[in-house]
Amino acid sequence: MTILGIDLGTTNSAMAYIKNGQPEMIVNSRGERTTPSVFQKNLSGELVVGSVAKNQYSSLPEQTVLEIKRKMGTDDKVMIGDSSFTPQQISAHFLKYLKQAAEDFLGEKITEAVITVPAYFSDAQRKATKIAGDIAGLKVERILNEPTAAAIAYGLDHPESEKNIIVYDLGGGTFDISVVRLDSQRIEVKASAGNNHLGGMDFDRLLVDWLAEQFAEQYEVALFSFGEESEITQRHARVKLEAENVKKALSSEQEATFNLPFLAVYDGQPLSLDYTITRSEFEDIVRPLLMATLEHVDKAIRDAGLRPMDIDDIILIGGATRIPLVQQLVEEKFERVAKKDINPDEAVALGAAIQGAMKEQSLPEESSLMVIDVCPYTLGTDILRIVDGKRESGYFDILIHRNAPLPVSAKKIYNTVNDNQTTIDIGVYQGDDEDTHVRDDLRITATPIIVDGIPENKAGKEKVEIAFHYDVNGLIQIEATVLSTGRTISHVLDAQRGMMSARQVKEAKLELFDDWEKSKLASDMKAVIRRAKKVRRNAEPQQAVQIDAAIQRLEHAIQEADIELVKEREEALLDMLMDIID
Amino acid sequence: MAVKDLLQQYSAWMLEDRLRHATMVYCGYAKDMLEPIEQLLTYSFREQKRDMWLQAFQTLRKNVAKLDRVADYDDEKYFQLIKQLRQQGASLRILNHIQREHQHFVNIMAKGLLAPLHEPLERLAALANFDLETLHYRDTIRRYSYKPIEIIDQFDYFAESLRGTTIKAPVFDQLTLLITQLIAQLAHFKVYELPVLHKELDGEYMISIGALPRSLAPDVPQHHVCKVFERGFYIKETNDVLREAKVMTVM
Repeated sequence: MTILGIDLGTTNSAMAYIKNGQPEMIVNSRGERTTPSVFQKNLSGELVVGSVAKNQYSSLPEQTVLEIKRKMGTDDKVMIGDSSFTPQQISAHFLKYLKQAAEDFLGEKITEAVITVPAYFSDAQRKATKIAGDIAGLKVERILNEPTAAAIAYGLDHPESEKNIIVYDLGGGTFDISVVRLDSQRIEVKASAGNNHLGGMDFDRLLVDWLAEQFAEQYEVALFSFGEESEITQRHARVKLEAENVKKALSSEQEATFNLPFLAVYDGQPLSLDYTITRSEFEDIVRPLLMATLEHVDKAIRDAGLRPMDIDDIILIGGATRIPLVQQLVEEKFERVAKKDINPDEAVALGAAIQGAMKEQSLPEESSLMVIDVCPYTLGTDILRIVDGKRESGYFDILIHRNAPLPVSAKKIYNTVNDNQTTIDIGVYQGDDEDTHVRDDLRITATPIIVDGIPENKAGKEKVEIAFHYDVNGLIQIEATVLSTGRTISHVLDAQRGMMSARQVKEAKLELFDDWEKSKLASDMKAVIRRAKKVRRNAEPQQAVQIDAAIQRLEHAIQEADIELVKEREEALLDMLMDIID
Repeated sequence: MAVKDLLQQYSAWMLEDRLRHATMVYCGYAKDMLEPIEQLLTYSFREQKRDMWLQAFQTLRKNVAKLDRVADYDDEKYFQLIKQLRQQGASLRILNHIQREHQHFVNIMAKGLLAPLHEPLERLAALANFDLETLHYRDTIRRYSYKPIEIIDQFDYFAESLRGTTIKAPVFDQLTLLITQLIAQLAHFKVYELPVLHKELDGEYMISIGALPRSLAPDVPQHHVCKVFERGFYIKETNDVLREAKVMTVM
């Protein structure tokens, strides 16, 4: 039974599996190695994901959802027309699409997966990802940190290594850095840091700005300020595409040219843009953003208790790390040459596949590695302190420190603060080691966990032991024990923000199944409609009118998503076509 | 090399040579087109404007000229290969087949006709029992047709620039006709334009770059294509989309 490795990305997703002991990528139904993480309800009411949805985005922005990963673990609902979707449901559609594509590719049923998430993902975000897998019909064997997955892919190729490595991940829209300890049999993530809103798309934008500046300098008019609305949209699309091409070219060439013949007509004059940008000019433009990534690198190394000189290897992942300046800055920082023998776009999915294979023990023994992740955040609870004789609430009391190796458990004993206090509330918060106060936006639980049944007693006499357990999937369990009675309350944080109950998950599963059936039906019907239109070409005028009406009735039924009616009208159309052909 | 490998080699050369032939035919046609377009510009504008447009036109001329860098057909390598096939004990049926295909293609080249691509390769694959996929048919066509398609884009951009000028409608129509004829020459690559104008948006064949208000295209239904910004193309024999059309639809 294959366990699928899935890199569920913000902009693109990818999947891999193990073939003959080696990880291999799986292409989707369009032959693509990565699938855009774009979700859409299209014109026929079908739910589509991937390139097709992305291609239609500009015309259907209100029906399209991008970057849903940023909303995972929140209560946010996405409305498309009358339909409402949770982030988990949308992610479930991506996972269902990938699952289906993998099943078609491998010719076997897929029921299990290892899914990767950014290292900074909170407990709620991880749980939401796990639920998305569940809705999609996948048993999520493990939620794995993305840099850990990359380190695993690297570790499999370098089983002899025993070293500290950094995984520098600069993707389309996010940046992550992790410090990883790699032994011959073990991978341990020592620290992680990053920026959720920095990536290759920012560099494209800067290049577009640069070109607009050159244009304004030469023609004394802003590039996107003249012409009709449609002309400006087209111009923008062309410039953006060319900026992407130029950025890619500058990774291998010392200079690249924005070649945009007949881009615009200004003042009756046809304008062709032909500006050359050198790699060094490009580097000047992007340098400030890249320097900012090094600050996160410093933080991660500090958190890991290491110095730059302690780092033995550098792994670069994410498409934007192809930019030579990225490699140069990172290499200068560590006085080491970065590893180039790893595909930056595929390493995460490949690592997830290896992790899956380790679970089912389908890898040769010498390739097996033990993976140890760390807790990405400091976790604690809110307490009341007496300051200058006054009671002040909202203090952050740390139980688990950031970057503690997983699984980790921590316990602390707290006292009652009032006479005859019979309950206490436990708030669970994320934070940082330096934080003194809790932040409401970082509270993990939607409502506090209530520990009741505390015997009436004087203030400070009753003691409650609170334990946090953080498992390898990054999921938290809270346990509270009233020491005088032994009463224990255990909480798995299933009432968290953005979480779905078991019933909701079950309903979402059925809904997803239904949506897929409807979408499949609509796609089958497209073939029938195409056939009908073909027959129409050679039909008598009266027959053509009849065919048009029948097609219209069928399309209407598809839009209504009434399966029975669709089948009935399909049959009527096919009968009509048979009569005409006869 | 074994007979099978030699036949596979022959097929790969055949595909590449036929696509080179296609490039040469296409390039010749594109060059022939430049003359009437230059004339249209000369007659349509006066003095300063004429100079300006003729100068802009040189960009096209230069880019078409770049296409004309295709190696000549190398007859000799085929004779060598046939010789090797004989030495390897290839059957008379195979040798006759190869010689016939070769002669047929030489005739096609001499007349500048459309050379079939997929069928002869299929016949060879069946004869030598190899997988056609090994020739990377789609990717090879994509590689060879990339530049010719880019030239069509440039003609389109040029025509689009002219649209906003005082150029007369019949002259513009003539220019459009010339571009249409150039597109038809892609048949040499077995590549055809995707018909998308006025069709409902479909992400399988189209990439939307935006939507226009209804008032700007009142005759086009909602979510249908009202403007093709970059044409899309497909390989007819395999139905593979080479490039999606970039379009604008009606809101």
